[in-house]
Amino acid sequence: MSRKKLILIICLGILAIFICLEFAGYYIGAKSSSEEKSAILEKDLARKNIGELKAKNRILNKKIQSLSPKGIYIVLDTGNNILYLKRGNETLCQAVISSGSGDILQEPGGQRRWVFDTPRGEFFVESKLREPDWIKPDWAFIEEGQDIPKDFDERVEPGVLGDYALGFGDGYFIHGTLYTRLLGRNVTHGCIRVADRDLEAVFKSVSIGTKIFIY
Amino acid sequence: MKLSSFFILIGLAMIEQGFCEEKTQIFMENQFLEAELGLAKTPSIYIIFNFKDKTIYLKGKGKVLKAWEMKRARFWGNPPPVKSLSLVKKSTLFPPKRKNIIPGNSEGKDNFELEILELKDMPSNYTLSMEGGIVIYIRPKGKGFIPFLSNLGHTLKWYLFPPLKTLWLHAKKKSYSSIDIQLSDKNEAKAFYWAFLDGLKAIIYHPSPG
Repeated sequence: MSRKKLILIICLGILAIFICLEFAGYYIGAKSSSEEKSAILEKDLARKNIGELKAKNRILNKKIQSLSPKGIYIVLDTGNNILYLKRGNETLCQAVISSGSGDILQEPGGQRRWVFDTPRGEFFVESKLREPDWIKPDWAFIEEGQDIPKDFDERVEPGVLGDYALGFGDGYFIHGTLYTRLLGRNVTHGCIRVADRDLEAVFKSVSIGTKIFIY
Repeated sequence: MKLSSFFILIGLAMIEQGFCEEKTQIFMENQFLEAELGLAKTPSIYIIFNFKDKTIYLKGKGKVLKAWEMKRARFWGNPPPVKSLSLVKKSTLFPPKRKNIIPGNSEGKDNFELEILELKDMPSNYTLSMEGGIVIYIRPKGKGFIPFLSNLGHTLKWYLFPPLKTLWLHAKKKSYSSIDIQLSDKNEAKAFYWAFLDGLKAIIYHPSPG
């Protein structure tokens, strides 16, 4: 047998094995899928009454709807950097924001590490502040290569958070900004920056307890 | 007479079949709503892959926060259970990398805005591994020659790889389900990658099991 023929036979053999394996896989996949399908139907469905199920579904839908925010709420899209002020499905206003950069800061020679992400999930307005002062946390000094001050007064920096701030827990705020040219970019340490004019409208519309959804 | 009886029997069988299908769909909806109610009660946002609406929803407290239209969806293997499932891992060829801040380096500089992680840095082709061994492939619908080639490669992979994996996992007595979802464009796929954080819960809702 020539070498060429031998190689051809080996290739055809491998191909045949591959096709057999593929068919076996398809067969098992299709079989287990239909077995599972009938198992679901037989086990649970036989005992159910269609009218009962429909009524139960209506109740469940109502229960889910009852959990939705009733009045005004804020939605923050950190990917597109947009704030939506909403009531029900209606958008009352929207504004360009800056949100977390996702950068990492490691304390030199220390154990602490910060990831500057904007937290995601459901929050609520915990505080409303006019002309807020920024109380600089440790990372702000570390990032600038400065020593962490012992005196509290050295941490207080007025003016940088704009005219208004809405606190939503763990030191995170929706606040104004001096850096309006960076709106629309992910440049913050986790807080949400909004132009003062836009934030004024939001500030006046919301109250303590207003829901905030961040994604 | 015999012929008419035959047609009556056929008709009754069809009605019974339709009734069964309706009952199945209502039952599946019931399971889905039970699962969603569980998630809506938590303070977390969650994802719903709704194959009935061909839409992926990002929700919080039952409210839709964002939606992505599925241009195409394909299934393989066992139907995923209609219950809340956690995202175990997102994998992609070139995962986005976070930047490390060098202390004292940003002082006096104005270029720090370039060293950030943004939506544009997210991948548009990726795999989501859900708990229970469910694998979801996400990719965008693309126009042009390169996306066409990429889609062709993906389709080949889709038809060749799952049967072999099914065989392999069947031998290990494990089940395998995979879902292939095509979103409308790259930006949509990137936005979904951004929104679907590790650990987030999701429900895969398909109105009929299979």
